Amino acid sequence: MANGLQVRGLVKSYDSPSGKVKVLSGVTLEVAGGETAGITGPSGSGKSTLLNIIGTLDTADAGSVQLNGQDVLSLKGSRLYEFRNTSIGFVFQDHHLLPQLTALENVMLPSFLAAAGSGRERALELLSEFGLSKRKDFFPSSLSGGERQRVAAARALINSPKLLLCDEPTGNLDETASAKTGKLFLSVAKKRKIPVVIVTHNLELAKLFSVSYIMHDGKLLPGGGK
Amino acid sequence: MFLRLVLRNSVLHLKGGLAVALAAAAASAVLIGAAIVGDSVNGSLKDTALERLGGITHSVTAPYFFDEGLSGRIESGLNGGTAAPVLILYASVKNISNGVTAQNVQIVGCDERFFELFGVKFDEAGGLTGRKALVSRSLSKDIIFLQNDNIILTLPKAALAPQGSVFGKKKTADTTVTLRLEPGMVMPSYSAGLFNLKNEAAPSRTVFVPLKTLQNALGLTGKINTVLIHSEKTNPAMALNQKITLGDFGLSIVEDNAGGAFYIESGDLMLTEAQAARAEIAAKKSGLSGERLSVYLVRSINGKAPYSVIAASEKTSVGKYQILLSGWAAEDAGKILGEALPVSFIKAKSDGDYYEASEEFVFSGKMPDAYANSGLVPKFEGITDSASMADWKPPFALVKGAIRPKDEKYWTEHGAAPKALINYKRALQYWKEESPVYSGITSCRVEKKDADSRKRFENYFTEEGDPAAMGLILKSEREDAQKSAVASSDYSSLFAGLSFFVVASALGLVWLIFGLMAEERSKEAGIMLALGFKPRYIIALLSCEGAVYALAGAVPGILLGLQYAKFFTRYLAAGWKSSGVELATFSVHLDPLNIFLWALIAFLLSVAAASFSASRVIKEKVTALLSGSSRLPDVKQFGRTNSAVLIAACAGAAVSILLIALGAAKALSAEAAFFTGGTILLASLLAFFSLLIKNRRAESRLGLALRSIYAGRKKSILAASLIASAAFLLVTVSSNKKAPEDLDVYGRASGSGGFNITASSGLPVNFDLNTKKGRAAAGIKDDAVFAGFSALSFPVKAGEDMSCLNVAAPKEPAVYGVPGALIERGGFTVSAPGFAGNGWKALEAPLKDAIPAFADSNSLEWILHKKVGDEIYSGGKKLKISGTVNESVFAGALLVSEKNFRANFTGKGNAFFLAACPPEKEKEVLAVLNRDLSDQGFDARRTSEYLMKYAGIQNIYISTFEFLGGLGFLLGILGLTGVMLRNIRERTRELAVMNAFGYSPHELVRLILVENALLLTAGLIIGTLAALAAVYPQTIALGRSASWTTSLAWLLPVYAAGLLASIAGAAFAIGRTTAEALRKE
Repeated sequence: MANGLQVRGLVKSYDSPSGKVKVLSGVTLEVAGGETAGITGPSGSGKSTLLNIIGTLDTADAGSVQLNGQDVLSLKGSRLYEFRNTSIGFVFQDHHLLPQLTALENVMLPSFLAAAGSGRERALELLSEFGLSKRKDFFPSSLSGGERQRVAAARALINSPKLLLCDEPTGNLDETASAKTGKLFLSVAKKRKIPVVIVTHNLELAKLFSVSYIMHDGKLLPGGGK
Repeated sequence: MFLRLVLRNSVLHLKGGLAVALAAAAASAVLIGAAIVGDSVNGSLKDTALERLGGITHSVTAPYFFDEGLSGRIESGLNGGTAAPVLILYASVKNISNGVTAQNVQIVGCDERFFELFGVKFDEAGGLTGRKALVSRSLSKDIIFLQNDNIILTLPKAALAPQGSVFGKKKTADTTVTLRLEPGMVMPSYSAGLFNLKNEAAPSRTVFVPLKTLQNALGLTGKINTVLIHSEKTNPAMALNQKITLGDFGLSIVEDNAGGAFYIESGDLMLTEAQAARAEIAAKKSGLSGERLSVYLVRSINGKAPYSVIAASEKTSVGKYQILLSGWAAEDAGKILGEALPVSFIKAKSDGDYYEASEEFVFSGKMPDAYANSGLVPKFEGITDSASMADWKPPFALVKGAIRPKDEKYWTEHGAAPKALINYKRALQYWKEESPVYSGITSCRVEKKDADSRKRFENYFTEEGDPAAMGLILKSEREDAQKSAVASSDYSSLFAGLSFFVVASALGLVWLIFGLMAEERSKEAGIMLALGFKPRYIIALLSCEGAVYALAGAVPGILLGLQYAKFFTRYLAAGWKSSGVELATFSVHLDPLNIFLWALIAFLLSVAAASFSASRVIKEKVTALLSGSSRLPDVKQFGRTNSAVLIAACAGAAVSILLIALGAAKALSAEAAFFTGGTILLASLLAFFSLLIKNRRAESRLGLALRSIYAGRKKSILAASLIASAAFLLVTVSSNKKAPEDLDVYGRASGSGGFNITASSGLPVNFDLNTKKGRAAAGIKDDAVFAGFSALSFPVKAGEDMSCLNVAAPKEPAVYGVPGALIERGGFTVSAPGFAGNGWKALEAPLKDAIPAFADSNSLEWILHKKVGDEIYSGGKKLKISGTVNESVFAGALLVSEKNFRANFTGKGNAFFLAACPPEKEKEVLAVLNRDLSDQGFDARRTSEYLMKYAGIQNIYISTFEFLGGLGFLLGILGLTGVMLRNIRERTRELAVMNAFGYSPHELVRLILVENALLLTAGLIIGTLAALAAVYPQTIALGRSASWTTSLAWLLPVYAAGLLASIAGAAFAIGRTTAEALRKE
């Protein structure tokens, strides 16, 4: 599978006072473009670590990550940041919107690095697509939890990434907002034909995804799917 | 519980606490250091005062020469004390081998008794005998004295007729004595080598000469003018009063040729009013009859009898226009009673020439024989000691052709016996016309009654009254020296003031760091409040923690303060030395009480800063404290401008421009107007800047930086204000630094008054230097270079320098007499209330009981610590400050009109000069003046050199301010770094998110750098603009090259430090913006 995300044999351990703790023990994962992969599992099972390594925020001790055939883990220096800016979209549990920027400006933030310019039009389109046109000049403190998460999703998509990574995107949302957000990610994957990996505790949400996995003892076990 | 909490919290927050302690240490170091600098200056002055006196406890001095024997007589009454006779004079000293001359050098004629007062064995002093001289180290440096160099002293001749009188000789050759001396050792700069009775901080420039050699050279055998006393147990006043003789008052008794009377005469030609009064009282108590006499020399009587002496007695009733003639004179005049009788006089001109003036008298009778007596005429050197009239050597040209054989015959038979008697008051007037300070009383005649008359008279004369009234002054030197060893300026306050920004920055740091610590603990404060603790309790708790840290900072503060003082005492000494000011001793002096006091003040200030900072945090709502939301950025609506700030900024700008304009138009004090105007402009520009920091759209990377500036706008404005203040102060202060090329020596309103040459002389030059004849009489041989030359001569009463060049507070400043020509001409920048036009006229305005005087504005304020309208005494005269002269060559002396000077001070004649000559001739004129008038110790220089000496001292303080100001701002930048680090730390999540979206660490650092660079650059531009507006009228507009280099030398590091701090802060923070940071969130 040349397109999509391919993760093979990822190993990662951390130093702790009681010695090395293995977090990932040879994780393998494949998500094709347009597919959504949900990962569930108990706290501390290594879900976020996996996501961070895939998103180049962390490094692996062994294994490989390929996106559309490109070896992600070998990227270094400016190419790494460029890749992160243009190829990956992140959505975090705690949205991580910058409090001093408006909804529109938060969405535009990654586009400031792009050669094409600020991407204002694209940001407006995304906000409109996510039903936030009227909220574009609102600061995060004036938005609801769901709205904030949608702004965060729009921000993740501003540079048309080749992979969307979502870490507990509904962690702080109620059931209705969670379902709405989950559907949003499904539509994003379908519409943009990009792989979407979502880490979640929400089992109901996981059922919506193309494939789902359970992270257990550093390994990814099949959890079913639609 | 409270104390336990304080201690536990102090230990828990030790890292931040150490930073607070260091900031508190900086504040106390600077305050303690400044206090030590002040103590060191005063302590060193006291050391010098005691060192220069050695074992001398008292002195007896007189303005005349008295018998050397007084020293021994005083010693015999001292009960174990000792006394040494010395002759102290001032002369010019030339090193023969290199021609280098020093003027106003102290010449001390002394013997082994003098050195014993300093515990120096006579042999150690190099055996002061014959023509051997000892030279003080300070003088040896001045005249580049090397071993085997011979020196020549040019001393003022003693016992002459007053120079202002027609009998006073003026030519250098007639008024000076030269004395060639062989080299002895150089006296080190301690003990006797520092001897000086004047309250001077500088090491004395002295030549020690064998007493007898000096006495012989001056024709003063057996005479001295000072007795130095060491007496710990006995008050020398008793010894002095019991052992005094008439000779100790500079007086002598001359027996009348006929034997029936005796005359009391002074070595100074005239008796003082006090001496004459004492003589009258003594005569009366002795049962004798005394009368005051005045004699005067006339050119002729009725065109005949050349060079005759006329007399007057207070006891004769001769009418104002009457004249009584001796039989010889009556016959010679050929007049009958009642006929008019012209008498001609010799008068001196200012250029050294003489002319004749005539007055009409009425021949009114025969002079009593008692007055036709040569005993009435005191000794006139060159006249009364001549064998014949043709041998006279008077100062004026003697017309020998007018002297007839009968005149010579009279001289041979009767000597200088008066030939006529005139009205007493009129005779006195002739002397007073020459100088109002002359009494005109040439002797007192006392008729004898019996063989004991003279002895009785002498006893009454010496026993009655205070010797001080006769001019013989007993002074407690050691006591006075300790009292008067006070610095001219309060250096503690000066350095505390100069260190203001360091103190402010240090306290600001305490406020900031402690504030950040308190903010970090806002949740803790919120919990305590929620539990029911009162805010007062929490503030007290935090304040006590602040006190623990401030106390911890006190010890290093004291140690740092000591280093500060050591550094600045060395810096001051070096700076003063480069301006020609040298202290005999200058070392660090510690006053434990003062150190404790300043440490306490610094401690209290630090605690107050911490307390204020803590109370600011506690003011937040409990809910805000609990949630930590007080630390979230405060973002408001877009583009809204605070109209109140806008109005205030516009009004401030208008006021500042108005003030600067008024200053430029001289409607207000320039410095005050410019500085105040500049400061208001600075505040206004900062207010405009604060308006610019508004919420704009953040749709680019620059926009992101601007939004961050806006989000933390209070801190942003603080940062910009700090750098703006630094730029403003450093640029305005530096612009006041003066370089020689900045000094205008041709402008009339300048400190030179338009005179490009300034000179002083050790010995007076009483000739008119404006005329060829006057210059020739003064001794100038090469007159060709004097085309276009003009000069003003100022009579001088010697005294202490009252300029900033004198570190010790002057007790009796020097006084210059301002010639009428300068008063008419005007010039300099004079400020005299009530005299709008030519302010100099205030010097001539009569005052009820004081003499109007001017002082240099800076010297008046900073050295004398007085203001216009205050009174000051010099030479026993009350002077009232009627006005000031701005930053001029007159910084060292008080100024009175020449007319008032001559009426009130005897002075030493013309010894200060201002001259103007074409610039192209300046070098040649200076060379000729210094060469041809070297015997008078003439020291002519470019006026800019004089002014630069004063400016040099100001430059030292400006440099100190620049240094300390720069240091203060660097400390401020350190504080800003703290704010920045805190700010960046608060933004860790923001930066991590940006990092996750592809912002590289390099990009993030660049973003933070842009934010800070924008602020620092804005501050730099604002401060510099305000400063330029403030200094423009007095620097650039006047063509003065302000010293920008030093400003830049400080501004650039401050600016660079700000940028570096932001880079360091960003780099530190970026290291933490990893996924881990996000995960921690």
